[in-house]
Amino acid sequence: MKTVRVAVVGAGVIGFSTAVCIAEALPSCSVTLLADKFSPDTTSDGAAGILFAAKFPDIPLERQKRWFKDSFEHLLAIAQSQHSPEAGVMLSSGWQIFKEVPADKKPFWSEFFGQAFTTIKCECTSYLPWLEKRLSLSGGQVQQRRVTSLDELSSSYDIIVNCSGLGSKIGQVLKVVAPWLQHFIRDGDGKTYIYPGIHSVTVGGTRQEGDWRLQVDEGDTESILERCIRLEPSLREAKVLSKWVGLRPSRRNPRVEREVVQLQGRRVPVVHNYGHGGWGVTLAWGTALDALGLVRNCLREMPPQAKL
Amino acid sequence: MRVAVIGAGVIGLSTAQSIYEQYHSIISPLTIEVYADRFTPLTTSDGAAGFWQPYLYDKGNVQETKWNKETFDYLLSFLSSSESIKMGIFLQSGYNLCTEPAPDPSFKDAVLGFRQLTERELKMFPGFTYGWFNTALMVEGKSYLPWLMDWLQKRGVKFYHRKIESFKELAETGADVIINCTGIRSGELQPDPDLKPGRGQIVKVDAPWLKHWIITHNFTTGVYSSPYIIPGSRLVTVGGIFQLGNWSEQNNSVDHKTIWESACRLEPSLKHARIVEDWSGLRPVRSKVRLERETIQSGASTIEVIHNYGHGGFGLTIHRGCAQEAARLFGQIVLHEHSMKVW
Repeated sequence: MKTVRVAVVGAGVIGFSTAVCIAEALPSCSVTLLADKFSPDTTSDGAAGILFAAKFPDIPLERQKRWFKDSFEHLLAIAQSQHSPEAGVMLSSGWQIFKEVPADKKPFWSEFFGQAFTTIKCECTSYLPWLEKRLSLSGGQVQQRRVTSLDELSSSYDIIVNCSGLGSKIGQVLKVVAPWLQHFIRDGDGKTYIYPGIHSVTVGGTRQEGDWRLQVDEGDTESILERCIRLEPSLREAKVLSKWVGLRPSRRNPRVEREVVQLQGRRVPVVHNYGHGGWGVTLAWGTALDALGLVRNCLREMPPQAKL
Repeated sequence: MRVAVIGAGVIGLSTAQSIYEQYHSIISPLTIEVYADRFTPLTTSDGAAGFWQPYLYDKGNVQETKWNKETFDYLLSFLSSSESIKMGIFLQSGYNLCTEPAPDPSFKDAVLGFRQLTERELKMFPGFTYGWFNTALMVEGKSYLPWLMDWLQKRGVKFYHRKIESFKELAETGADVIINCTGIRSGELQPDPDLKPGRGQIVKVDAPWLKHWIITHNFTTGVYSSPYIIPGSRLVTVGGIFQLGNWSEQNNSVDHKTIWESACRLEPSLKHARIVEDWSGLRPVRSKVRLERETIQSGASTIEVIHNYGHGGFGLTIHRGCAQEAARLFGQIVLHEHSMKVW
């Protein structure tokens, strides 16, 4: 049986996760990942990468829970293994806190009510190169190339997997040096957070509607620092390493589905896996597994000899 | 009044601090001096990981549990200021692991968020079937001691780099009260068969992806003899050696191997950690902390001594509670001798 050529478009956490899932599970496929931007220049690279549950309005709860669980279990296994530092995946404990005065206050956070838990942090600047290694171990290939339309790919590939995020909601974060911080702290409203990483602490953030400027805003920088210092006073002693602005590929719901597209006279199966907003790292592996299932469906429906 | 503190580890410095805090406005003049042959970063307190955690069970020493909690609350209060990191204080959470169910430890009410480990969490640590998670404090000696010395110096406390050979020596120079915070070497000033070295060795490594402490417990071999991994603000302390009666402060390669192999089994990612250095120290082990007054006859006169030593592997954990108690004992001496002059 002839090899099925699969193109995965996008080299962020979704693209690489999906490509690895397909390459490792389907030896009958040859996987090529194509993208214009690679780590450290993807949106994923700016993400703090803390796994945190999301809730999308139109996706059945069971499916969302499965996405989260699959991603969490996958990364937990890496965090517990010797690959942890190279992959940039580690356990992270901390607190999510709220300003509403509750009936039962926690004594330490005297003005806040909160939840404490342990989750995972996955740093894409390490994780993406680590996934790339895994992809080539399974025979996958990588190509640096700007894909402007799926038409370009139809003659060379049998199945196209679209993981090209493309952002719409801007966010700004700072990386500071504060190696004594061991816990994440997140304001329940999602606007202020402190996420300690391997070599730096990511503090943020801003989510401005409709602002497309891809430049660091000094006003936002000051606002971020001020809000974070209020949560964690020792941050006053932290040196700012860098500032980053990125566009989260926000969508009402992530699009994980397949369709058949007419491209250059051929009917080409396309599997979409994009629009994860601020939950790309959190849902990458789970949605990649979903996308793998959709690719399997495409394979089942392909006529046996219909390869050019 | 002249107070001479012997010892510049966390016990000596914090006792000097407590005495100053409580009496400098009551006694005038109050001269406090600290004598030691080792200062930071060469004290036992400097080598320790700086992790606040008492032994699991206090064996009836309820005073010690009280002093531990007092210390925790005291250190916690600094977190709301930016001073905290200069003092080497920060929060860190982690895991206490046992191979069998065990009663709740004495510190469960002192720490934050104390709870039992879930099945899923225990799965992360093969070989361990029971344990607890909580948020505790770190107080790193290499920052805390310089901060204390600076605090004391700003308030006129003088430091003398000198080995004191006897209490008499200090009494003869005019010290009114001597505070004995000489840790493991207290026996050189006054024999104490109950005081023994609990030798420890640690390996310091660079592994910044580790954000939780992991302490394992082996009820057969005893405290600190089972691997532990404690991330710090810069490096991770890996240990698990407790040799009672061993006075050697030299690093031992067999101990290094023991520590390293068992820690890597516990935390496989350590395989990739860069080893920075080894360190050995002597925990001043005693059946219980010696914190009491003693009036010593010296010829025709008497010497007032307050002993504050024997804090084993929990000096940083208990220091403030003991310092405050030592200051209280000092107050008794003051009241007794100077009751006319004070008021």
